[in-house]
Amino acid sequence: MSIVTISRGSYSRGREVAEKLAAALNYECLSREIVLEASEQFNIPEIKLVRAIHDAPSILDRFTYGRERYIAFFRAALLKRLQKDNVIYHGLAGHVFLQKIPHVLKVRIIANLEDRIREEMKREKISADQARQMLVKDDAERRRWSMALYGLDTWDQRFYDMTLHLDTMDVEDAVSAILHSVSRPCFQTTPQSRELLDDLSLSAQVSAALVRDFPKVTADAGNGTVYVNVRGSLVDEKTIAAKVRRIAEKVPGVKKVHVNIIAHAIED
Amino acid sequence: MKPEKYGSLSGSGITFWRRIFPFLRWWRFIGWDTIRADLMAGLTGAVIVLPQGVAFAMIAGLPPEYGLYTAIVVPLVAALFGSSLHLISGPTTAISIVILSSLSPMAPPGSPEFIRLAITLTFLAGVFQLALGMARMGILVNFVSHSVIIGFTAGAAILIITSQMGHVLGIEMPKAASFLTTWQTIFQQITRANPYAAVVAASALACAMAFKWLRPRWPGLLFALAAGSLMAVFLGAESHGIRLMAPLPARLPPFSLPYMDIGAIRQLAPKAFAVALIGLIEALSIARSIAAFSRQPIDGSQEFIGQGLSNIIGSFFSCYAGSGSFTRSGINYHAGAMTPLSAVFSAIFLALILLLVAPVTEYLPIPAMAGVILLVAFGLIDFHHIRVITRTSKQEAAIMGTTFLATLALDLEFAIYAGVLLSLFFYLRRTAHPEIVSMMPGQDDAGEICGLPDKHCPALTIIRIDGSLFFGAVNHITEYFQNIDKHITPKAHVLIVAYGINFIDITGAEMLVNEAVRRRGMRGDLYLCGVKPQARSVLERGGYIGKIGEDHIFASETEAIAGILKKIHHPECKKCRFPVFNECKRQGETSTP
Repeated sequence: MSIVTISRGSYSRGREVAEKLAAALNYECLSREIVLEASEQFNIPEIKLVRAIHDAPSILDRFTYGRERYIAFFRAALLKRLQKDNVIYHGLAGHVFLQKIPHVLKVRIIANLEDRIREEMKREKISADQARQMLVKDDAERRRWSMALYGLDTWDQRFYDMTLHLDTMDVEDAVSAILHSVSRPCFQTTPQSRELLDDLSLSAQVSAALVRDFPKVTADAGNGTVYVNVRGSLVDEKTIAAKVRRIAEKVPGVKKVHVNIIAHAIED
Repeated sequence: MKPEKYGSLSGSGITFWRRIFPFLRWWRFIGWDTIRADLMAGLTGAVIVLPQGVAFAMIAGLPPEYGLYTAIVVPLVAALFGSSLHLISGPTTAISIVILSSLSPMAPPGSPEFIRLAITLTFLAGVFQLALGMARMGILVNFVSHSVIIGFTAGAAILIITSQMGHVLGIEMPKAASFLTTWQTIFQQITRANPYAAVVAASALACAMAFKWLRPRWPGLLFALAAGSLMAVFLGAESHGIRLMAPLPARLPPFSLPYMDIGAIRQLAPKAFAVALIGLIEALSIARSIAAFSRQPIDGSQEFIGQGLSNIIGSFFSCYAGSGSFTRSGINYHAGAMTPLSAVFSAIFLALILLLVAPVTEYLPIPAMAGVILLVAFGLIDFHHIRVITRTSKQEAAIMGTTFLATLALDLEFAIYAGVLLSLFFYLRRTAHPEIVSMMPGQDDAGEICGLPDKHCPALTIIRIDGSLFFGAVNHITEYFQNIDKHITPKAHVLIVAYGINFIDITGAEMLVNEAVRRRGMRGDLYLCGVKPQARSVLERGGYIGKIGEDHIFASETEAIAGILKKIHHPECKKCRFPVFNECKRQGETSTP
């Protein structure tokens, strides 16, 4: 019983690894399904969600908060689905949202740029130059996304439990290596790690519920108690707190809500 | 785990740029929600500053437009380079009065010479303020305690309410009248009050209150001004003597140049220094007062820099010296401002009002503005903390009360001085009287020593000192030592438990040595245990440990008691029937046949 997230660049054959791994473990293999679920649950166009979790935010996004909203919806849908356990998730942002969960094996699949270009040319029927341009742009975009939103560099190896380079190693070897790792006791679901994931999911559901009204919301949860931080003026403290409570208390699993108003920037 | 940001500046690089451009500190906090809130607060502030700018310029002996120029440029620069998120700078009563009194002996008020001198004075005051800020003198603001701020805010709120009563009742007030004079005038002329003005003020006040309670997130203050204006139109404002805004000149602040010759600078420098100090005290006190509500930490030195730059730059745009305004800062905060952009928007709106809709402002009735200001001022009184302070500490209540009364009776900056001086007096008195607790072993077998003893040992007295042993505290501690066993010889051995002593200065160390010598001369002695490294270092470096005795300093009280009891030969021990220390009891058991 565990969860594996696979972070990959486009055409790195990560999807293939994920699918074969899921087949070998008899786990569910998820990627785009999460986007569809979030899109359905929160009633937002799929394309907007995909852009929100892929493209780096623009200056305008900073003021409109559209991206924060979509990411909150996506995160809520992903975590809710992962609560079911026995899942392989290969897609965007998984490693970002699941950093604190110990029983999630976080894998990064990388491949040589030339191999990826060949793969893309084959699949998309484009020239090498076009493929190279698209891949470089895509990699940079994903890197900027996590830097801009979470201050994390997706290329930083410290975020992953294992990084597999598909060069000498082929897909079968990669699957075998992951199978070995995921069977280790440290990646098995325990009641404590399960609780951590449940708390994380609850906080994500609360954030998703509040994000339309409070775009800069952050939430933390523990045993049904949710600690919500929202931005606002302390002049409106009571009104804001009452509204936050009213919305958050409707989320299933929430027993108590603590509200903190962040009235000014706190320097890091 | 959070790695260094890819391609971003290092921590020290960010800190450097944030110090140079402090708006980078809150820049990332801005979003559409904060901009919306700041726009509303800025618009409200721009409307409120119109009559104030005109009035303050007239108090300063300058043409009315100079007050408005000051209300455009000064708050903009001060907000971007200062520390407070909500402080609104610009023309103020206190500085306007000082400018008039400083410059009127040098040139006739309102004359071109007077204006040029005022601009030069502003430039110099800004230079002084900037220099003080760069010297990090803002740290002095830490000596303004919370009680002082609460008292000052309450006093200032009453002053603001008082200053508006003339407008509310339609009574003509003497210029720059004091608190008492204003109320005296009101009571003397109450029969001449204009009921129409009062109705307009009341309607604006009622409207502002209704929005505050029913729709707190709406720009209630602006609606209240609109309601007051409509009421004035309905009542026939001018025919019933309701004062309206004076016509405003439709132009932006023109470029100006301060005098740069040494003679003028030498003549103006002392006056500019006074203006600089008053401006800083005023701005910082107000920033701290608003921060008491917003819970924002204030960097005093940064605020000095912001004020300095605003006056320096302002002096090149026909502004006279400005500082923080309590009324406008309070309105800004209560209107929901979240970042200093509200001050920037306020300046832009004011400029737009001047350029585009100056004639419309003539319909704004002064009593309506006064009504709105009444509500804002009332909101500044922090009743909750006043109650907490009154219940918690008599000293703090005295500090708060003194500052409050001083604010009403004296100039604002002197009120702060009064509060700070009283705070420092109580602080010094407290530190000069460190708590000394007498200790003895408790009832349990472990023999742990604790306070509130119900036992007494004439041979060994244990005391714990909570506070610093410095020159100011020496007298109090010496008196305590002398009173432990006054008129009794031989003297007791005294063990000082020093966990609570953070600092010992030379006078304190000398006192310990003197006490050790005195007690030894009368068969007693002095010991220390649990001495903190910093205090021990002073004793070592000064050679005091040698004089007290290296073997008289112990790591813990248990070790100390065992060590001391082994070597003392006090006559009282021989006839002791109720030993309090476990060591004495054990000794008694072994010696019993």
